[in-house]
Amino acid sequence: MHSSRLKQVRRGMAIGLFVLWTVVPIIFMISSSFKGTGDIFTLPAIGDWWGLVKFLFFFSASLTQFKEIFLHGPFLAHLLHSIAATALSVIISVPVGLAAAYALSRARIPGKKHIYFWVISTRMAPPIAVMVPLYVMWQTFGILHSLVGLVLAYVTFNLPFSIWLMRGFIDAIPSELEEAAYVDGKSRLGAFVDIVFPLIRPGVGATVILCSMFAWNDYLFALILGGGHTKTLPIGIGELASATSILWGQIMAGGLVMIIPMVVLGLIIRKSLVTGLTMGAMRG
Amino acid sequence: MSRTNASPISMTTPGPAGFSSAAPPSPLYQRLVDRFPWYVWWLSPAVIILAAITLFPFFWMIYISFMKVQFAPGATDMFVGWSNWGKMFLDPSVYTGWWLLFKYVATCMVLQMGLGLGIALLLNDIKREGLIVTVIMIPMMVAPVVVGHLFNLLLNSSYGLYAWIFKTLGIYSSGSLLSNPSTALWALVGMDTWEWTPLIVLILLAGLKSVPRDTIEAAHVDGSSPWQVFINVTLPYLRPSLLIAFLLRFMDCMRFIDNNLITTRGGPADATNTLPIYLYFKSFREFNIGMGAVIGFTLLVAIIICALLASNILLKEQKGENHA
Repeated sequence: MHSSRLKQVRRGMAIGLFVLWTVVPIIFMISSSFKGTGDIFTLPAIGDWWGLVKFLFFFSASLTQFKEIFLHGPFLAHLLHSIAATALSVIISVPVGLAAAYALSRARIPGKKHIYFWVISTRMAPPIAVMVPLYVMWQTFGILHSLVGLVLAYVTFNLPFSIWLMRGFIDAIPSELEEAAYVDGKSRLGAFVDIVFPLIRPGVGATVILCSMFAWNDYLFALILGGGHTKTLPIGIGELASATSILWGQIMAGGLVMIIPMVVLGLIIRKSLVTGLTMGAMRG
Repeated sequence: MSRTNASPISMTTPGPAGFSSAAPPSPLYQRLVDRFPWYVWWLSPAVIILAAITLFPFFWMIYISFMKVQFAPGATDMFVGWSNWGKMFLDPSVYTGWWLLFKYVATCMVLQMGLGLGIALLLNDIKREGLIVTVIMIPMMVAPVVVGHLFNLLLNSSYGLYAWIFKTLGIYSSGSLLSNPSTALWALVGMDTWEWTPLIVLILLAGLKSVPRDTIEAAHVDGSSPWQVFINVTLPYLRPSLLIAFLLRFMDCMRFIDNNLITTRGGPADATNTLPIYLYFKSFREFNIGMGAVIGFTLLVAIIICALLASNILLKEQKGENHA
């Protein structure tokens, strides 16, 4: 039995190491955001591990960085732009995607396979390649560096995603349920609203959260198609690091403000997160 | 006509948009609704939007690849024939870009799959699995822009925590890993591994739940070694999840460049100038959009071929599973 005990210990140590490697950057970020500007840089002497623990956990906390970003500078405006772009892209993508997903799931459509391929390949396209024609198009239509342009750009990845994901959720609902409702004299829309929707509501919720996450976390589209008067958070945070000075404290604090809502939402749907991120290929 | 439906029962039930056949004489709106099968009305908003923002740009990109695009006011685009294409095939940076992209993706995949599989096997069925999984999920939800800045600071040679640890352990002490041409690409691999190995762990943990416990116990009773049990029992059940994890991560490693763009920006000395990064600089720094379109088109086609192969492999796998 001695060797199995040893195995347990080794197993625990391996897991512990992986957990450490995963959480240390996050802890470092949190502690850096709650420090005064000078304190961020006061690492202990090389080799002083206890000093390092003190550096990460026991320090004089201050809200300087948060005050700085919220009270001075354009952080709040960037936050609002991020919220607007995210919300609008979800408001377009999810309802439109839901209707399409229902049709694809229930109807016999000629050439359905081609529609699937189109949807999935749109989703798989590398953002930077998509950006080239979009940039020229947006320029031509005068929506470059505007909120409309940014929202439409987010729809290019959120709409295919929500169609694909929600189709999977609807496929899992037997269509006999709706047919019974038709017998009772319900219309197709009525049956959808009264019977299908309540059953897939958790799936729709997960789709909303994942789409929000993709739009909220986006950097590349915001960098190239956004900007101007519609700078979003990722761009705003990037601008705190200029060629002459890097405001590390504010970057960490701003980053924390940016990731907290997504971590909370992600943990709320943790059961469907794997299903969502594998586009339904895997049931979590 | 359009009222036929997949199932026999709906023949006797409301038609297209659900209006009963005994409805009063139909107004114009009703006639319009009845003109097409019901799904047209449900599907067309998505199809129209998608066509406008994905299909149309795709063809526009092909058009641009034959043009010299000019943004100066009053200047018009010039047709240049195959010139952009010729330039791409003669550009050594394009070949280096593909090679660096290959190196990056291959290392990421080997590292993340290996680490992910190991951690998933260790985590499966231990006490507090749920809690640990919740904790290691966090990096996946951190925005790439934040990951980039965070690692910039962590690796910073004078006040980065990781640089401090490397110095203390005597592993590495000459500057930031990100600013050394011979380590920059591996630092990027490390960042991606930090952020996305948890996803592989989650996928594989879900897959491990499908391995029947009594089969494993039976194999143990038969005197198989843990290694034999893993190869003969666990691995076959895990195959689909391994495949999904691999394909998903492979596609994403090819596509996303956020970390690179925030930390190394293709440098130092072009050490991380992968093809998508080169495409970014050509198109949006030099504004050579024609050239960008050519490179973008080849990248897009390469990735779509990969996606096609991937979905075919997955479909085959799932069919095989159903037969078994």
